[in-house]
Amino acid sequence: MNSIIHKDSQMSVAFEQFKDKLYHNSFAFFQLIALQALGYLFSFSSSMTGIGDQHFMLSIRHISPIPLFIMSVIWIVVQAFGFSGEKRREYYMVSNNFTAYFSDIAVLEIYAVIIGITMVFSGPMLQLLAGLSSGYPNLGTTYDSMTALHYLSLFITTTFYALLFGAGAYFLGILRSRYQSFLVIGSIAFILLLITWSLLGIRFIGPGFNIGTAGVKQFYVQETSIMLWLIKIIGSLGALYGLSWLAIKNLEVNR
Amino acid sequence: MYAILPFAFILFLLLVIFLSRFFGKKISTKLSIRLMGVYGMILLLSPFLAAFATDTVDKDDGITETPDFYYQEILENYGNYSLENLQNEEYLKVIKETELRVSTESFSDDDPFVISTTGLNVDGWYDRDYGYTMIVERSDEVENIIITQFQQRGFIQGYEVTQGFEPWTWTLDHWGQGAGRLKATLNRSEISLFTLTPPPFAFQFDEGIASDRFGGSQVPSLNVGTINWILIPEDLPIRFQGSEPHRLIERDSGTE
Amino acid sequence: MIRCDELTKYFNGTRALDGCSFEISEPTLTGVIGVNGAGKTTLFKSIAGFLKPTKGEVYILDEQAFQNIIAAQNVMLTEDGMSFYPTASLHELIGSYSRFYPNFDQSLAIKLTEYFRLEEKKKYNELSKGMKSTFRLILALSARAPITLLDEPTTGMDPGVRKELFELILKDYIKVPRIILISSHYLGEMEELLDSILFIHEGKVLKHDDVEEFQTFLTGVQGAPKLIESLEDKLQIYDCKDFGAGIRRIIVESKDLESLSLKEDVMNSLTFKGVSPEDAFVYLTKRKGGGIDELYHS
Repeated sequence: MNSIIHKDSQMSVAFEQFKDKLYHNSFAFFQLIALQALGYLFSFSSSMTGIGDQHFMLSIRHISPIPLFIMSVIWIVVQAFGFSGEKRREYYMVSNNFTAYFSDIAVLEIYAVIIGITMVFSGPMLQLLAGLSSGYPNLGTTYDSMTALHYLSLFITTTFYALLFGAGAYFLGILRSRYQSFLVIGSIAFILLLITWSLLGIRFIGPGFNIGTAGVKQFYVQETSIMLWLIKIIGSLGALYGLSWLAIKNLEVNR
Repeated sequence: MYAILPFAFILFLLLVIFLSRFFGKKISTKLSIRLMGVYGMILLLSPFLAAFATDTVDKDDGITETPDFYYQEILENYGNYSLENLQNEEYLKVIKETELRVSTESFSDDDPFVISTTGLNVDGWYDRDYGYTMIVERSDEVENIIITQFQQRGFIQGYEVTQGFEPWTWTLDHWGQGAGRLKATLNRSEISLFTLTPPPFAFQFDEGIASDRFGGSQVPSLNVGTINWILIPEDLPIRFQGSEPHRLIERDSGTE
Repeated sequence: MIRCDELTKYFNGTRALDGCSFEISEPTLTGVIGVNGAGKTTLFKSIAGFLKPTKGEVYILDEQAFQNIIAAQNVMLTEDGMSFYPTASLHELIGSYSRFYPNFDQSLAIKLTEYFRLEEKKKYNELSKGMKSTFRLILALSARAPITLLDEPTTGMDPGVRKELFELILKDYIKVPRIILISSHYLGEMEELLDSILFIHEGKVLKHDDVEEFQTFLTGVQGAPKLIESLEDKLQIYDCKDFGAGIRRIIVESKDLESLSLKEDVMNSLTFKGVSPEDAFVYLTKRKGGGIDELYHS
């Protein structure tokens, strides 16, 4: 009996790889729980507003899950760097660059969905944690103003934002894997490019030109039309995924 | 009490980081998956668990928020108000009743009982209506001094915070040459309201609240006002030190 | 199934393979022999589709190997630098590999793991160097991939275990014939189980032939110094040594010697000895112009 030759499709191999990665990277879930615990801690110290004088002090402490989201984003960024950095391992099983890339992206998308789900339940979780501590006698909530559509918005926005960060980190990680020797030069070139772009932008567009992080944030976060927002997000994701693929396409597997 | 929570979290987190760093590779795949499963179950059950675990401050459905400057309206109309009227007033709440023994015979017109508001040093804010009203009523129905302090009901984002106000402390002391004095001390009120605030992402496509969506939280206005209604025995000679009362009701004639 | 056409590979200006050409189309147990840096690992990685040829091409099942999923499904490469999931136990790794290689024999893998006393619950990084090599070999053989590439499979193993593993490779090959390429320095130990040898030197295929051919490729010719010296001008000499008592010995290619058609009396005054493939390997890769002796005596 000779060894049988197999010719399975790339997608079937990619799917198998996706399941395998999800399973073998389960420690990431442990890390998520740890980081989200930290996020919940910071959520209780989110922000405070208040007024007062020598007679009267009114403070409103906002318990907001924004820190939780930030910690979750940190988590997905770390995972994305991990996937893009350690690319040799999977090739010793059945893999090529396409299946490796596809399965990485698929796993990151699952992680982003998990973040979205945890954000949807963050309100009740915070309420539960506050209740267990018995230290929040005047606990109010403005979650009552949220309808089902708001929860859906919360899920969609947090999932896509997390995915955007993950895709960005993955792209940077692939660049690092592929062009290790050009990392320093590339970083310097990128910074110079940003500076040049901002100078040109201010010169021709005016002082309102803003490509800083605030400007990037506004580009997505201030968009109130869901269709336009989806176009922006999916376009950005497409660009990042496309660039990542171009970078990984001819990546060699070598020590 | 709630200070324990952050420390507990920090301890837990340090423990997790320690475990993660030194034993991370010893945490098996199956254990990680099971932990995630448990975490997921907690998340799914959290709405139900939270309902049992917490007593969020209920919005008072029967009362809308106190109108702005309601307190001033009371002052403007005070001529018609009796103690009983104020006690039935829905926008005022009794936060303290103090009864102090006084012997009317110990005082005379030459040596009257002093009601002092010196040292209170209450100044209104420019944009807030903080102030106090003192009303003194002579009554033949009381033998001691009874001070009823009313507080204007305060609401923040629909939640009543009136009970957070510290009532004044009224005490009797001796002043001058053995004369009695009723003295008020204003205690500092500290009201902390914790509010769970959803992240702005939830309202990203809700144009109705676009302008407030990502701005900093602003403290809503809170109008505070205190009315101290002091019932004194009918025959007690008094004089005032500090500010004069807004109303002095002479019960026997019904005049002021 | 494997075809290399003038395969050339450079790494940052350093030539690892230089016009490597050969073809293997039938099941075979082939030893890939060469000194350190000859290009064996580079050749294996090129066949496995890990490396893109600088020039030339590698074909697996008539498809270009680089990043080809068909090639990947039908080639199993194991080497010392292989990495695995750090949190995965040996049992989990066997499970993973069995999902990717359809021919994988999981029961064989488990039996072999038990036989070689590897604890299934342990993680790969917790094993000793020899045990890691054993586990990699278990995976490779259990995968039953049509093309199996074993790069230095016996690294870190003691001789007893090495012998057992070579027997294991042979038995598995007999049971499931396929193309198995083994690179090793221990040609002497492997010689008995090999069908053919692919000899790599300085990035080129120096010789690719059956083991029997290698066994008769070189011949040692021994005789009186004058007689031997008379032959040296006519033959390519791979080695030359003077023994005491007026005896000189040279190593030459057998076919070159036959082509000389020496007279019977000359033949009778010479002694001919076969050269083992392992010795042939040494002679073929010997440095030109001085050896260790010269280093110490200069």
